[in-house]
Amino acid sequence: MAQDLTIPELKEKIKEGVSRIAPIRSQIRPKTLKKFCDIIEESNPIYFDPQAAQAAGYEKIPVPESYFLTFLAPISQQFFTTGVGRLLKTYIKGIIHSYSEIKFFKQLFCETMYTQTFEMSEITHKKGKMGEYIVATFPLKVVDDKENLVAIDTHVFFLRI
Amino acid sequence: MTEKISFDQINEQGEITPLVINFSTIRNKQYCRLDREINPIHFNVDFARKLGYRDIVIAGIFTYSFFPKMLTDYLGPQISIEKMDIRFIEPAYLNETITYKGKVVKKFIEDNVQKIECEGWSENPAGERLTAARITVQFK
Repeated sequence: MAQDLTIPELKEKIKEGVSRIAPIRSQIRPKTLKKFCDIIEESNPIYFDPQAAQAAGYEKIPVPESYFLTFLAPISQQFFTTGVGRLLKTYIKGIIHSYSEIKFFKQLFCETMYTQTFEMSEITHKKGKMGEYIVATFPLKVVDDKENLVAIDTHVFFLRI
Repeated sequence: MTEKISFDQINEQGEITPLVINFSTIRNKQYCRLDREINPIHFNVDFARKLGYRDIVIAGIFTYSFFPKMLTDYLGPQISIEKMDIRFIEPAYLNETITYKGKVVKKFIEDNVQKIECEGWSENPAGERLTAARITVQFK
């Protein structure tokens, strides 16, 4: 159970922390994607060879859906630092990623600027045999420079308190 | 690289070729370096054990990666993922060999696009389910 803070107060602190998370504008570099492909043993050359990508009809190197949650890692990690960093150890003992609902609307490409945003849509309190948790739902959105929604991960974290 | 399987060749309730992955120390280190991992549960065994886990926990965002891979390995690069719901049930631990499995549960055409819906899951060597996924795939 949270020390000194009530559950409603802790929820408010978390909401406040999430509101401090700034959007991230970034691109996926071909070298980074190649490293990822090596790690997961992805051998399709369209993901790391510009000529193979062009031969397959792409202007730029496409990014496999496998990479999507890794691409979101920087903004997800902001939750641990900017978001709830001040609450960790004292109020939040651990964070578990329990669920993701992912939708792809457009193909992601290397060397293309995207903006990632971190929002919170729901926050509840749960208590059971595995402990006590704040359960929070975060839509993580990726848009391109024309503000088209490219993909979304609705991410659920269990925060152990 | 996989030969293409056409939409017509796919059977509902057909099994997807399993994908077997060992989450070795090297692979996990490489991944944590790539994603600049900051959650110690994914690279610090003492921290992981303090939270009640028996070893370093493989990041969910990393274990997720192998579901799309299993599908493109099986169906070829002609497909793309439209949506995926993934539930993380139990952790995958460092140095475990995890098997990704799946089956086609529905085959359909929507707005002139050929699609299949798949059920996917991952298992540890003891046969315990670690993740469960529902994936909609479209043929390009």
